[in-house]
Amino acid sequence: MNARRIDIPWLLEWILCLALAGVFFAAAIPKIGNPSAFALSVHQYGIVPQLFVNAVAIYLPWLEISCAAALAFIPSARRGALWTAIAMLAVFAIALGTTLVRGEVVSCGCFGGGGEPSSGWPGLLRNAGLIVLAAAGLKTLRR
Amino acid sequence: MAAHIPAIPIHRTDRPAGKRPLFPAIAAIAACALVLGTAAQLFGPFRIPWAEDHGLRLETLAASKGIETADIRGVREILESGSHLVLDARPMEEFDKGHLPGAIPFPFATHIDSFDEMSAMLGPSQPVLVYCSGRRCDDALMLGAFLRAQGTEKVVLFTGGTGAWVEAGLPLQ
Repeated sequence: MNARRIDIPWLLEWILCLALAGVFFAAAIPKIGNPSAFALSVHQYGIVPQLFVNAVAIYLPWLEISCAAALAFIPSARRGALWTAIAMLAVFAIALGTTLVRGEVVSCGCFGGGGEPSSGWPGLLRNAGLIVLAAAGLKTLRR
Repeated sequence: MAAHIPAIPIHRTDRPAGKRPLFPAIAAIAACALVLGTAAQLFGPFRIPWAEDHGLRLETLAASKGIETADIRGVREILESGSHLVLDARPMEEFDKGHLPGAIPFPFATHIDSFDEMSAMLGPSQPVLVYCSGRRCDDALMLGAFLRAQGTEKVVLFTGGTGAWVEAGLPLQ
């Protein structure tokens, strides 16, 4: 009798996608619960024109939720979701990098607004780790 | 004698060959976000204006924490009178590059340690002026809120910070 082999790449794909989905869900929920605080965080980064600050605060958390849902529940949409995640994380990296260049410490707003300041290197490193996770997820995908 | 059974190629239907097209998935995710965001904004309990002026954000937040705000003229008067303890909330490296005349470094990143060291100077009745690099930094506001919570009665926030000071052509020390 043959023992069933564990499909490692398949397992890895699920673990990476579920981990990323969890991070995006956790990041989006506080933003949806307090859009006005998140709008202030977006404003602080100073990379979004004043007119669009609230629009970003309204739609970005739902983009994170949609992305997380696709990663967790729709395997056929994972490639698109991972690329969307990488694009979002790249924009976050630019925002975090901008504050570093300016020598400012602002409330990160990464998991909602108005928290302790966590922009700068810690935020940037966490972001880089998530990009690596998403890239690894893409690598494991076979469809 | 066993009958000859021809080999039947088995295709796993759950993993079709080739990659799934990228664009439809990204478009679906974006459309989903657009619909959900609009629905939340129209019918949800946490709505914000579609657009608003965040220019006075520091003043609004400061007022909500019982902190006064000052512009360049107000800060110059405070510095000339010498009535306030002037605290620079930026990181130490930034302080070393240049700071307001008479300012003392009080980086927000290490505010607990700094508070322990300076607690003798920071009596409740000692007015304090706090600043950081400009309107987009939060250090001074958070330091001000911390000092208010520690009992300092009068905290003034210089919203423009060193950026506005330099723009006004005033020298840093």
